[in-house]
Amino acid sequence: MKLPHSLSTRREFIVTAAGALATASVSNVFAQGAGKIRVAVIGTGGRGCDLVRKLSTIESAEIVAVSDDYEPHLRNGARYAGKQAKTFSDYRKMLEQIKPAVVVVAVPLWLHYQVCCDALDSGADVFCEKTMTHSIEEGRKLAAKVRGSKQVFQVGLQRRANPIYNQARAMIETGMLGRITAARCQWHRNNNWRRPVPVERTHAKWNELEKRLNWRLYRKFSQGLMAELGSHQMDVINWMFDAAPSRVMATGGVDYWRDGREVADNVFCIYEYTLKPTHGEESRDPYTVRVTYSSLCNNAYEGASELIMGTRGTLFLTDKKGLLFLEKGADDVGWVKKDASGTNASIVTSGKTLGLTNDPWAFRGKPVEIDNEGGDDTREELVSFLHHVRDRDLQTICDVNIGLRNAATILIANEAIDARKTVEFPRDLRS
Amino acid sequence: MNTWFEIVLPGDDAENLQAAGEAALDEIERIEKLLSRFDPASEVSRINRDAAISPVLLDVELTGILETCRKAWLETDGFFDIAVNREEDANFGAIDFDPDTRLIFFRNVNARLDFGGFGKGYALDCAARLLRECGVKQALLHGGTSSVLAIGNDANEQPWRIGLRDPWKDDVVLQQVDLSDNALSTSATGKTVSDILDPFQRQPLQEKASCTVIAESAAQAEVFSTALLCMGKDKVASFVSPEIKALWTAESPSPKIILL
Repeated sequence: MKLPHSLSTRREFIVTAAGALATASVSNVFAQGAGKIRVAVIGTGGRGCDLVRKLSTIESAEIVAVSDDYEPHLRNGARYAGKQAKTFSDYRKMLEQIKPAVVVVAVPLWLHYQVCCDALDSGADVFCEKTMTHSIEEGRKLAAKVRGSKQVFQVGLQRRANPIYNQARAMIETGMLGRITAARCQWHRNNNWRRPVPVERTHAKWNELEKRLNWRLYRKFSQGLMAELGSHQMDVINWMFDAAPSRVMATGGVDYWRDGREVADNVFCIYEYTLKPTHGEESRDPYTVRVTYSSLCNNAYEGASELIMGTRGTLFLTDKKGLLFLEKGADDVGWVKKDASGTNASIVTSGKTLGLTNDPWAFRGKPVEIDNEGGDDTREELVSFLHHVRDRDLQTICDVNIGLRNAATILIANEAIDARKTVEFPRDLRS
Repeated sequence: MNTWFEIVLPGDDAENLQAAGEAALDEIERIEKLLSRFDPASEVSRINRDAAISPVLLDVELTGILETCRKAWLETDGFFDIAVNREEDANFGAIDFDPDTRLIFFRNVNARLDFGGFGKGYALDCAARLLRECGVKQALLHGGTSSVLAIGNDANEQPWRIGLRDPWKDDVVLQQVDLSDNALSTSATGKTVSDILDPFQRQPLQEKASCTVIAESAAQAEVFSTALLCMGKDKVASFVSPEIKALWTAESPSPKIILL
């Protein structure tokens, strides 16, 4: 930027600023904390850079290296990681030379298994982006490897770190929804899900670059909408139900974005879960609950959300806000404390205050809101992971068993779409 | 930023240009989530919440932004100040910020960061960098029509032509400006109560005026259009240069743009 001509005033400002810094260093306000955890990030595309940016604001972490075999992505990763981070196009060399304590894996799905195995073999604790693996078989092998080690492992399903979902889990567990009878979840968007290719179509490298950047659209590299989006919602369901599904029927296809992609641009699934009655219910017999899941790329109404329905109420969940709607006749439950006017109510659970809004929602009653407007669950999941690393606590908020169950849940849906038949959840992964 | 962004992308490969446009708008949304003081989940909200209590660790990008803003504060003799606010007695001088450790601390508990006079321009610069990385050679981007950035020329290989409106009357174009690989920003007062504060009076600007700055980057243009409007027409002359052009509009006797 251009320098001003009024130097005298400017000098005055510089003196002030320098003075401020000198004071700061004397009072040791900016002293560097020792003993930071040495973190390396493999894969610095869009999601990888998100993780780099979040990690760089966490006091206990130091990003020592970033790696990506695609130069523009590596450059972006380096820009957000800071000068102290070394860059590598070959992650194996990075593991060997840097020996990071923690490796964050954000490569395309088809490479998760190999990169996670190499990172574990290097002795590092591993944070792997969702979905954990490209196939159930890879998931089984990775889970066995992690279980046989003393290494900390977490899968990046960040709703596990979100206070709204933790609150919802507690509400369901304590029977606030009554008997869970159904759930509907979705991630609907309206775009072509394409990344731009930086060269003209006539360029010799266009094909190769297009496949590399749009790996999400090709079956060899990707498991499509179910893995990239559906994994989040189906993890919520597995978590809230404390169960894996028993089977799934599903259909999907390339019906709108007919641009050469191989993965469906719309999917619809019906999962069946066998649940045990929550406490307070008279019958102890297991019962079946059906869950629908859909994902679209041409209509964004209601976006990403989950709706969990029970005999006494419904939970509408998103990452910033949760709403509890009571069923008619359920407003006499003991946990709602009404104020003098009889119109508002609030409760305190798990340290969070919930308040009824006054907005009338036709046919739904007044919702109780759970708010997380100021929260950042991606940062929170990393903070939690680093705590577990420091404490050598292997039971992370989304460990390898949860990751495997989640991968199997979404992969059987893709199998059902391909085979046009109902697919059972693998028996060995049910408990 | 809470404003409307638009991108014009001429070319034949609609599929790829749409993907590039979506990626650029995602980038603008990302900057909004970083800099907005209205979104409680933004990085700036986290700083404003915590930095008066203990030092807050910034990410690398925000560290760079703060360095730029501190430099601009110095260069504009304090007329560009992201730490000034209407309610409280604080300015950039009340902020300890160390780029090496990436820590920020507010010595005045009332200090708050507000990137209102910077964010739009910065978002356009980031979106433009991303578009260039995607191979885009021609584009026009604007945020709320007050910040405009041009990549290359328009579809006819002519510089992008921008009309400067009468700040107080809709649909009256006072002058046209050509942009090509540069940016402009307009700051104006007088239509309603200004949201631009005089950093020394901590009051909305009173004089009815408008300042347009043409510079290499949109952030630079926005910084200077805000600062120059605050300091007034008479002081502007010492800040203009071949890289930074300023156009001033005063109301009386009738709205007219002069090149300073």
